[in-house]
Amino acid sequence: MSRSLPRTLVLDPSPIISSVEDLLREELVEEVLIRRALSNLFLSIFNYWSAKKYESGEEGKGPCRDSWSYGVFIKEMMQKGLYAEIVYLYAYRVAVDHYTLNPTVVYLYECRKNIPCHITVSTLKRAVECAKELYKTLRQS
Amino acid sequence: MYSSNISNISNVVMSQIDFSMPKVMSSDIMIDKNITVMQIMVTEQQSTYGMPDELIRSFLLNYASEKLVDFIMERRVVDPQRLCKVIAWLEKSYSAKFGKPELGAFFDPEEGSVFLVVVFENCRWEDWKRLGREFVKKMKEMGLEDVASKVMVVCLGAFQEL
Repeated sequence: MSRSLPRTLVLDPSPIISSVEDLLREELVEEVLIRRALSNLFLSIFNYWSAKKYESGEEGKGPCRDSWSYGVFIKEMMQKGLYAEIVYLYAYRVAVDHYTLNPTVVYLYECRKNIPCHITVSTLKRAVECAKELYKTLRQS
Repeated sequence: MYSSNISNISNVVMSQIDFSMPKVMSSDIMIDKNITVMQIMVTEQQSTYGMPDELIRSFLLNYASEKLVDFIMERRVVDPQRLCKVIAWLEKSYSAKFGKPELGAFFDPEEGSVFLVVVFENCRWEDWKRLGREFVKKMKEMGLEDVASKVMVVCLGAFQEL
């Protein structure tokens, strides 16, 4: 059924963003849920961006030419001036999916500074703000 | 060869620029250590010569470790000369407010894709958002948007304020 619908419609991230906002209305949000929510926010925006690219006629990789890398996604978002939004969301996506401790530190190669990440309700709220801004920009592009 | 190039650059520069910032004496440009932002901006704006690798390396060493500078020069993730221009602009525009930028690199743990990272320690969330918009606008004006999209600007304060 979904094959006949535009991919941008099927992969619109609004339901994910809304479900995370619902989660934030709960009094107690466990860390494991915050982690999954943060990761979902990043990946849902990424999926939507790739759907936009596919529908615009661009060719990605893979047999169906429908696969793009995070690297290309992040570059394109930065080109739109959304450094804070995409880098914040991306850094936390790496922290929640690839690091175990909380707080943790995301490593920067050969830099005296690294990125401290506190996986909390407050950071999830900011991640929602980032996702909304990225979504808004993508929808208008 | 290096001194000669720099000398040529400095002659062109010194004769043509109406400095809005303090002047750099040609003798300063001959120095091959502690190359300053001013010197980089002077050479890149006014010269048709490419910057020598030694000048680029010296400039980058103000912001990055030797190992990272080697990585930048060898891997050419971005054009090193154009990277210098980007860093010079960032330093000139924001260091007074946010502190001296530092360079690092970030490797995606799944894909291995690499970004160069410019870190400001003392800027916060709202500063970061504003900086991102200004940065892209300015890089487009300077014809450096290709480099800007490969350089992550990170405001560490935004990760510490919540």
